[in-house]
Amino acid sequence: MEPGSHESLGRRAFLKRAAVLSLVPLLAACGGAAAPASSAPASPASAAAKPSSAAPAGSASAKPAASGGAAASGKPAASAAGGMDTNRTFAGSLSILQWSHFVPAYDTDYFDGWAKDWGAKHKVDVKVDHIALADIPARGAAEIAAKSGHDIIGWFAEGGPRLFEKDVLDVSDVVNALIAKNGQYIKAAEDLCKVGSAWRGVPDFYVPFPSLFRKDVMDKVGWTKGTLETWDDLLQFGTKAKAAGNPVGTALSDTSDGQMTWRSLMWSYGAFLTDETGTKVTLDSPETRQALDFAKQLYTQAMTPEVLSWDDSGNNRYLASGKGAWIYNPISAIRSIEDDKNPQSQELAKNIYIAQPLKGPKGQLMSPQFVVHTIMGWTKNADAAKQFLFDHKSDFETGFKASKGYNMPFEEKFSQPPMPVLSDDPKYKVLVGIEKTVHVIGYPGPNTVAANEALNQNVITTMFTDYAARNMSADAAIAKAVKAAQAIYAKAAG
Amino acid sequence: MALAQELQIPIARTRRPLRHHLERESVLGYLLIAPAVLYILALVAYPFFLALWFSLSNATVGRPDAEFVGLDNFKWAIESDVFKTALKNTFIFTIVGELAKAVFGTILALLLVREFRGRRLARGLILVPWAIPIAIGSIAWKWMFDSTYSVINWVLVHAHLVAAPGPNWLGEIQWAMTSIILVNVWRGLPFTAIIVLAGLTSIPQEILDAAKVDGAGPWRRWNDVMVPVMAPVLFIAMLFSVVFTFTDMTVVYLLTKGGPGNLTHVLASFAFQTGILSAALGRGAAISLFLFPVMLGGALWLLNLLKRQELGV
Repeated sequence: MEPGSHESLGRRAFLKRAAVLSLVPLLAACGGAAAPASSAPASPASAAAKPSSAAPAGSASAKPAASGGAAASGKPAASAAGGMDTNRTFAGSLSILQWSHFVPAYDTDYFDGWAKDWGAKHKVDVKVDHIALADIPARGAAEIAAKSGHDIIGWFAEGGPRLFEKDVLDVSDVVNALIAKNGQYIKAAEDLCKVGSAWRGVPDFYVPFPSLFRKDVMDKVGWTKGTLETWDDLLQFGTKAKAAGNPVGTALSDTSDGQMTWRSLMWSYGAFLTDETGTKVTLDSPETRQALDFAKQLYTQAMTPEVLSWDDSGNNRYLASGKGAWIYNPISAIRSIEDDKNPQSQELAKNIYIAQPLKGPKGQLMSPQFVVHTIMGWTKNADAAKQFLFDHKSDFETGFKASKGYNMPFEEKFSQPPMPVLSDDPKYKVLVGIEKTVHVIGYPGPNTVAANEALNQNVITTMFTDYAARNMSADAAIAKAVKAAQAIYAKAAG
Repeated sequence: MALAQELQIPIARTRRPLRHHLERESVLGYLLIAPAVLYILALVAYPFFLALWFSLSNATVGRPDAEFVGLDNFKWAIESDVFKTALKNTFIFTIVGELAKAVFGTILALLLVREFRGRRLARGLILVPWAIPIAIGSIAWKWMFDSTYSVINWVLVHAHLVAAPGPNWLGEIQWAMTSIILVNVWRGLPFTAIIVLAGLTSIPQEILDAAKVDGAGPWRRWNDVMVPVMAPVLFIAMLFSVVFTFTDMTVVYLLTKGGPGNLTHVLASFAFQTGILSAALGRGAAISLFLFPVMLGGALWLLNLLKRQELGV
């Protein structure tokens, strides 16, 4: 070959150039760059979904989304219950993404079967996908970035309707029909699902955080009150219980349980992240210092250090181990012990009792987890999705029984005694009336995008951990939290 | 006939240059590599430039109509306490993890290169941590580090090596970082060991024998014979391993989710928490791209070293 011919490009030079060209973006991609366009896992049911004919909520916020367009039967929508018609038939498919319930029987024995039957009745191919609650935010975000995926997403303890206002349908017609049928919701439902004048989500249920305590440990340490009413009660009882080898525990870590518990404590002490407008950070207050001091005493005198590493099931395992004297957790923790046929667990379950959320100097306020459903803007079957959610929420009692009293209703009417499952059970009836303590993320302000970001960035749990367990001064812990919160709220304001 | 011949002339003239061009490496080379380049452009370059745009905008997951905000996201990151911690952790995680993998991977490779009964089986088993999905491995480790049911603590306590209840593996910052690095090393060690093993087996036995005859001890044989021969392989393996470790968030996310108190985040996990879980895509992208120039510089430096090694400069 002659020098200077095509060989002059140089095989090595060419390969090097190609390697460098490919190395640059490769490194960036490895850097974890958030590039959802290429990473969104579309659900099998809707992988071929095209942009919906239904108008996204963002462009239809002034009036409720029209219904009836996707009806296959040609049957006019019934006027009863605000346009919802339980006998109407549709066509196509409907996919639902929601969490794997902590009471598994709710999914296996009730919801999945109910959804299948609903699909058969309404001529819709219904598919329900359950994933771990911790995976829902990432999966939902990926689907939203790709504008493709499930028709309905059930958000767990996160402000889906507000975070993704422009990607979800206006479901005011569904919610108004449900209000007409079931009566008003408690305020928390509106805080979570109503954005401006439109309902962007359908409230499903909330998950309260009551005290779960060991009666036998109370007897052992001579706690004669027989229950726990206040945070101070917990400190006193917990101190004795720890001395007796049964420390109390609640997650002092960046988990959903921890987020809810320490917010509840703060609020009960009159300390809040923001003011009522939800724009001004008000964390630096004497009340916050009081709450922090209490948390430090509770951690050092009464709790197990294990709480620093707990995930959402950590306290459940701790109670089931027979060591813990108290945890602050939904009733799934005691239900799973009751369901365990092991004689030791059966004996343990007999000794675990429930008490209402703890009171602080400024009241009895509790931050629950919750599930709300949104209909996604890309759905091709908006009317079927609306009817599905309406029918699902129309029947409260069956679902509530299947959840063994876990899914507490947002509806005022269903919260009144006698409540199925709970009112007749001497141990569980204490939960009736718990809805009066419910407030949601962002309280006393609205459940804003910034409030949810502060939740996801662990601003509150980190502050409590810094002061209670890491020897940081209260001033430094608060200043650090305020700095982080202000950066979040400043972005939201900008 | 003459007309036909006349007609064939231009056909022959057009065919010959095309074949001629295809036979040239400069054309055929580009054609052959085109699918790979297109693939990289679509699935790597496009996300990269998208991330670059996100990092300069106020994009959120639910808000595609983002506005340009300049370097605000990078400014926010620099001022963030969690970012500073994550940056420090990323370097600790990478440097300690890589050193451990290099040392133990080499020792493992030197052991595996020897003849012994069951060597094939041992080599196969060594690969298991690297072959199984990281999610399964991490969850198994999470159980072993569990605060209530830790099997590691049970053994340590019953062997009277530590006082009950034992270390709070995922609850104390030092132990949590140790756990994260340990799991990363457990997973990456087979890769390093196999690469070194491949390098060792490629060294001609005559060279090693000659070195022995010349009186070179094990250290000199390793330092002056084996390493220079294996250098190209080692450099490439190190480059890949460093990039993978530097950008790994799986172990952190599965073991601690960045806790306790956001203290074990690395840049990749903090970017995920900010960009995806908190829906602040712009800030998440800024975090993930922050070290891109450092990474690129490091990669080019390593490649340059490799080139010098090849040329014997």
